[in-house]
Amino acid sequence: MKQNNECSFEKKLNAYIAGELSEMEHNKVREHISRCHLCQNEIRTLQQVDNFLFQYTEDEVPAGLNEKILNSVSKSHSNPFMRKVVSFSIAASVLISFMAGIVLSNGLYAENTDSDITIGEDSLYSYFEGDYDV
Amino acid sequence: MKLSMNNYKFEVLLQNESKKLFNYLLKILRNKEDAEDILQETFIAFHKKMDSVKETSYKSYLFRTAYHKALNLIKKRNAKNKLVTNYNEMEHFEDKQPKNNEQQNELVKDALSQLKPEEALLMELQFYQKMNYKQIAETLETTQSAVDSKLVRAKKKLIKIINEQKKMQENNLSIV
Ligand SMILES: [Zn+2]
Repeated sequence: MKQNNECSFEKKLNAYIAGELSEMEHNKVREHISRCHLCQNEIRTLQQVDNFLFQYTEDEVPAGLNEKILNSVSKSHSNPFMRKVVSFSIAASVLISFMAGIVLSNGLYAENTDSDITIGEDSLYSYFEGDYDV
Repeated sequence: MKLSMNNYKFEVLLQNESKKLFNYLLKILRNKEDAEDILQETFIAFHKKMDSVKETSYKSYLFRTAYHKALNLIKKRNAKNKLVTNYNEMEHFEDKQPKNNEQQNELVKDALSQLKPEEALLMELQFYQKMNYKQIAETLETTQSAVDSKLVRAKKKLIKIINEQKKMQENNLSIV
């Protein structure tokens, strides 16, 4: 450790917060922080950035933009039939995995059927989050 | 068969990533129409190269492409006319009393646009895209230790900007 306003651990703090250190190093740094006020302050300052950035709320992609992109790339292959096939296959694969989920949850966890099906539905909806249209 | 598989993957990728990319572009370009244009260009460029990109690198490739395209646009804009944009922003600020979310979003966009574009991209990848150092290094085509030191530098800059914003807000409040 150096003088009053500098600490040799400081340059490891960002990687520490990000969880990028090896387990051994992580523990070493954590142990150090618990008794170093400089590092405690530094971490608080770095976390200011996190708090600031996380106040951003995402906007939705404008309606129809994804469609427009799909149209312009499929034009380069000019095969509208293929587009339908692809869309259909996405819908089919989602449906199949959904059905498989129900079958599995019924079979494996028969006593807990209700909540398992709810999980299946949640993941189906999250798949379709946004303005996806088949 | 390969074509349809690629189309399928492309459609899934568009579905999963377009919102994230769009919001990244909104933050750095601060203009909806420009963000839409660059988003479209990015996906079209990706689609052309898709065969030569590893599937695990799709996201990195998309962000890198969006970054370079946005950077070109920013350069063009800077060469054009700074005064006009500044004036428009001021007008926007005075005219409306923005909603809370909008206001917060504006602060974030304002702060990120004061960073170098590469620093803003670093923040985007770590905070919003939850990439680890390895993935960020791949996107920026650099090393993990470079990512760490660049992140630290960008954060320090951002802290200064945040504090300046706070001071400005306090001054504004005391005037009103
Ligand atoms: Zn310390």
